[in-house]
Amino acid sequence: MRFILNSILGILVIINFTLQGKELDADEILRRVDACLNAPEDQQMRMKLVIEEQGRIDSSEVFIIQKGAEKRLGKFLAPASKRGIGFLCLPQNITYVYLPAYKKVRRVASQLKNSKFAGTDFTYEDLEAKKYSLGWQARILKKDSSFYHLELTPKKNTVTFYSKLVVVVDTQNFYPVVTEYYDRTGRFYKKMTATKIEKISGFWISKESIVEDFLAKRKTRMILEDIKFNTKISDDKFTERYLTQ
Amino acid sequence: MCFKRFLLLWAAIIVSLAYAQINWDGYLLIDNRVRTSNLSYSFNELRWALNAQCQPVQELKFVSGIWIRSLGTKEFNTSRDLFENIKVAPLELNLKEAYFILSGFPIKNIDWSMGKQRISWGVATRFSPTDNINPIDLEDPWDFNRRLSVTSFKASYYHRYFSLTGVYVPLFTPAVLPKNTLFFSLSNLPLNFNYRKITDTLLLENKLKETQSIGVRIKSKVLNYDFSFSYLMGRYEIPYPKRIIFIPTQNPNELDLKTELYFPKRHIIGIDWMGTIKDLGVWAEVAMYLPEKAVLTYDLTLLGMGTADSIILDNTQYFRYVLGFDYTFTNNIYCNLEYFHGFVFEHGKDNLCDYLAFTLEYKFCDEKLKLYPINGIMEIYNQHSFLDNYGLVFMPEIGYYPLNDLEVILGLRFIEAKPNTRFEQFKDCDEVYLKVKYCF
Repeated sequence: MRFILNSILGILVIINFTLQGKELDADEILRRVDACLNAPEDQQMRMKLVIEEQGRIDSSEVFIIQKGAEKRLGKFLAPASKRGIGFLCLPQNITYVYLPAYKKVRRVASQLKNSKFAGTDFTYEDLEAKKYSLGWQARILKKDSSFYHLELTPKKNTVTFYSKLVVVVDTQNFYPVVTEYYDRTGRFYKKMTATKIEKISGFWISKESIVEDFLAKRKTRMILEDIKFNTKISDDKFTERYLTQ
Repeated sequence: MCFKRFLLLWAAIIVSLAYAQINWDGYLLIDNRVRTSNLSYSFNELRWALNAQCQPVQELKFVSGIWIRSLGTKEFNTSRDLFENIKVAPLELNLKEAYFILSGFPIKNIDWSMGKQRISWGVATRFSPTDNINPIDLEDPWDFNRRLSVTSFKASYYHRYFSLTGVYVPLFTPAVLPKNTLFFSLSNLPLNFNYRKITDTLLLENKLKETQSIGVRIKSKVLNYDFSFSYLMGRYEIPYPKRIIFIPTQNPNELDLKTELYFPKRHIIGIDWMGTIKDLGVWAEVAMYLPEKAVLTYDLTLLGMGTADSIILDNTQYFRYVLGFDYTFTNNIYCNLEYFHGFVFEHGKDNLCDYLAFTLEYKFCDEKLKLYPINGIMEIYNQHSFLDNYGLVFMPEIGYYPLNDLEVILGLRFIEAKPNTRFEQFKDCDEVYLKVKYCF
């Protein structure tokens, strides 16, 4: 009996080693990136965006709640000129914007994804919750013991304003450390670097990221504070009712 | 159960109000306009808007806003006036809004709001024909979007993307109109005299039945498009003449006119729709107005001639509508186009004109500069002979945003209008304007 049990255990150990040693292909790496980024069921945070330009600093602050990869609600806390403006992103590229000055909710077309968010170097698309494996085709450019370098090109029906992304992924936790953005003409012009990757409540997140726009010669720093995961945010929060309150 | 919950909530409010943090914000606006024809001030406003919000408990929020303004109007005429500060430097204080929102009471799907508030219906960006709960405020005739808050009660039931809203406005509030507005045309009067003095009285009974407005709106999402249906029962916000009494004077060629004005009742049924088609934002609104018949009586009895009636608003339905599009190009260019039938102050089947409002916005220099090279409204008074019957208000503008909270706008308003168009009265009102706004 003991012999049989030892044999089964031995076989399992061999299978495990075989699987661990197996090379991950690009699609699998991308799936693991998605799994890492979307591991929490929901999250909420305060996002601070600091633009650094020629010695001057402008900053915006947004309170964000997110459920899954497709529902996101944000409200500007600062600057004063934008305070109270809200946005709600829902599946199927539906986006609403609430303008408190007019007490009105407006639908915005997907073209807005390319617009700069609050005048920063982030676009609305950059700040979307990501599920790369659904919209992007991956190819491994190179790999070493620390990082996978993936080239992502959009699939046929993906709505994006980038022709290509190059994503550098940490081999240990599958968190994207660097993302390079190429515009529709194929020109490399923007880079985002995750500078403070930490594990909070069991989930990996970059508490600080820097995006550099090489055309505008500007940097925007994104700092995440008061991060909370899995607080059971209700679906009702992702409606016009909460957007306007 | 409800009563117990109410008591608990009330106790929580009382306790937490003491600790509630009040959030203040607002802005300072300096708005100067100069007529290009004679380089005189046409509008000069200094506005300090101050808003306070307080949320003592999750379920309760208090929202308020005031405007403290100096309108630069000339209030001094004699040397005696110079001794009075209020005449030399007049100030205005307006309570813009003050209301409570009570959320999730008595069940989590219901919200209430009570107080002086703006209840915005419709989806259009400039003129919403279904947005009629708050009367228009045309003190600044170029700020078409400005509305007066009204004391009202609103209850909304929500279920995901569906909402049902009921509104009750107990007191009638008329519109604020531009100075020197005439409510009837002197040339249409049955007698051709010189009119020495024109006085008027506004008629409105003080009974709830006469002063109240009631509205209901259902909103939902179907196939990724947002729809809403609304109904509102109330009164026109701009008065109509009910009786004009012709009074003889000592001069046989002159008469005095005494006018009684009133606000006819109306029912408005509205539908609005918004969504996107590919990358194009689209929206439409239709409002069907069902007015009560407004009859004007010319009272000539003091002249020994009896009375005569004239219908000035027929009780047949008429429609006002809007169709709008917007599009954001990849190079920071945004355009917005709205075609609408019926301006905010136009009512009655035969009194509605067509308009086309257009905006092209270009952001550059990292959004520190915003240029509106094409911006304005075109009036299409008669589609068949357009070139002889159009009005155009063209307002190119440039905005500079040196800091996050500071904006400086320089613009030109150029008005070209053919005779008999609505914009004809503004024909000589070309102006340059400078607005500086600082938010805090």
